[in-house]
Amino acid sequence: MFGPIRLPLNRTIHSYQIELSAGPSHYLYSRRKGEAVEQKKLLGRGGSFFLEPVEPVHLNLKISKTLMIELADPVIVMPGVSQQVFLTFPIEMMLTWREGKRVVEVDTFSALPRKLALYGDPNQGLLCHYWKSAAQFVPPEVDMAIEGVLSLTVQNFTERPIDMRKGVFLAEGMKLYYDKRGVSMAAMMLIKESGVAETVFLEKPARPGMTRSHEMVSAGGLLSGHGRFVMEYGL
Amino acid sequence: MRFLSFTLYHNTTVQDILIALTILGGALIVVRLAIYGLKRGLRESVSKDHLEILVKIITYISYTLVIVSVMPYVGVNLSGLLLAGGVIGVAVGFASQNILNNFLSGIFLMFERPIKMGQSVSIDGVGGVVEDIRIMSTTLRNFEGLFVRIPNQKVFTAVINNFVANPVRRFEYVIGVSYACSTSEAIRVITEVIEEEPYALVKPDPVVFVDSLGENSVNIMIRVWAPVEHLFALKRRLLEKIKNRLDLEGIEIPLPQRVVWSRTMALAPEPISSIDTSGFSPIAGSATDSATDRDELLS
Repeated sequence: MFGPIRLPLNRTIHSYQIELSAGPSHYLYSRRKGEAVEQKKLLGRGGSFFLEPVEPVHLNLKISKTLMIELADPVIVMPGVSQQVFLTFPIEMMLTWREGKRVVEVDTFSALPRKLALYGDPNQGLLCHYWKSAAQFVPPEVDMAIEGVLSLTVQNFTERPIDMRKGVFLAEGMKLYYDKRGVSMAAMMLIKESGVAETVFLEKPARPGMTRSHEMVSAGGLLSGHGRFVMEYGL
Repeated sequence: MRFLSFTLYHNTTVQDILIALTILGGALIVVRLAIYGLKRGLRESVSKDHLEILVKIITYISYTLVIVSVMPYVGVNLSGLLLAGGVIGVAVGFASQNILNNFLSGIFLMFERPIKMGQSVSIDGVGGVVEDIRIMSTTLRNFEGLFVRIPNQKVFTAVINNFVANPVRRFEYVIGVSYACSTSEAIRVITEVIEEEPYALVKPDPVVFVDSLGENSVNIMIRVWAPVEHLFALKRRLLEKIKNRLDLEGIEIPLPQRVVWSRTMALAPEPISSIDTSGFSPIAGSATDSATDRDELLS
């Protein structure tokens, strides 16, 4: 489903019908969902097109660059434990036009409507993209047009059991991998104090041979923390 | 070159004046170049309003230093000026209390920063977008696009509503549904519509509940949190969607109801309680229609 695209493209992905065709000096792109149609004319020739899963924050990138995954059921993490659990995350697909080192976003869409949530209090909290997932001990079977699998290693460095209900992740550090079977990410959550944890993504595909998606959210500079996020408003 | 040593007043020569003018002109150019470089250098790393404040502070300090430095050349004795300044300052201070108040308020506003440039605010009942925070006044572009200047003293002492200071805000509606409809069904439908809206936040949770049993309807309170940037658009869109969906689901939003009795009954000599109302029926209708109904009944 993901990867380089051969033209002309005419593909149904979930509820979307996407088309991309080449003209003499341009390309025509359209995405239909029911009666709603998004069309774009791309002036220029050459380069190649890719459809890839991207960081699931692009549909509202101006509002937030963070993803909150709320657990369907809370998880209790005992002191000193380092355990892997599997969550799901929403898939956002992006069609990009690449020419040399230049990568241009043509369109981004998601099969399911997306929601936002506030992490923290209304005065100084942080708006996040919202997703709800069960924590499982084996990788779940999912529809790769809708969900990917996040392998999360939770480590509790405190001396007390921690009630974990959510994880918040920064898009700047996300590393997505895909193949014909699915989309994956790997991350760690380091619980450092009661109610405080740090999340960070790992360069680790779920299976050998997976392709890494182009990272569309770049780190914001030397002080960006390289994708680390400190959850200071509770777990 | 003899004219350079020509004394204009006291011990001040043409040369002194020329030196003073050169220093003034050079300093103005240097300050402007420095400000330009500062703006370019910090444009990416410092927010626009922080940069504006920094630029203003540096500009005012630089101009003050330049003026003080050229004063000896034009024959102004700084020590004498300080002494005289004390006396004059008292007199001027009394005369220019408002100016001084505005100036000091401007300084405090720049440090306290209850409002920032580009934010939607309401100051002393005047709503608009903050265009600039100057040393003496704050300017807004009100929601009709008019330029509004508010003296800083007023801004400093006024009640300020900053509509975008927090990342999220809550809005609410009260929607009345008919007593004949199921309120739990109405709540389910409204909740579904809220869930379909991407900008209606999941957390803090939206709340939908029966708020009161009104005269004409069961009043359902709806409270939704939204990002401040999208609040007004969402508020407008969501109400329309709720109305349309309730219509679609056959849940009636009733008009105010009033019971009207015919005139023959109202004029009856017997006390109302003793009237035999068998054979009469109350006519229910909206309040706006009641006058018409009455006229029809009386004719």
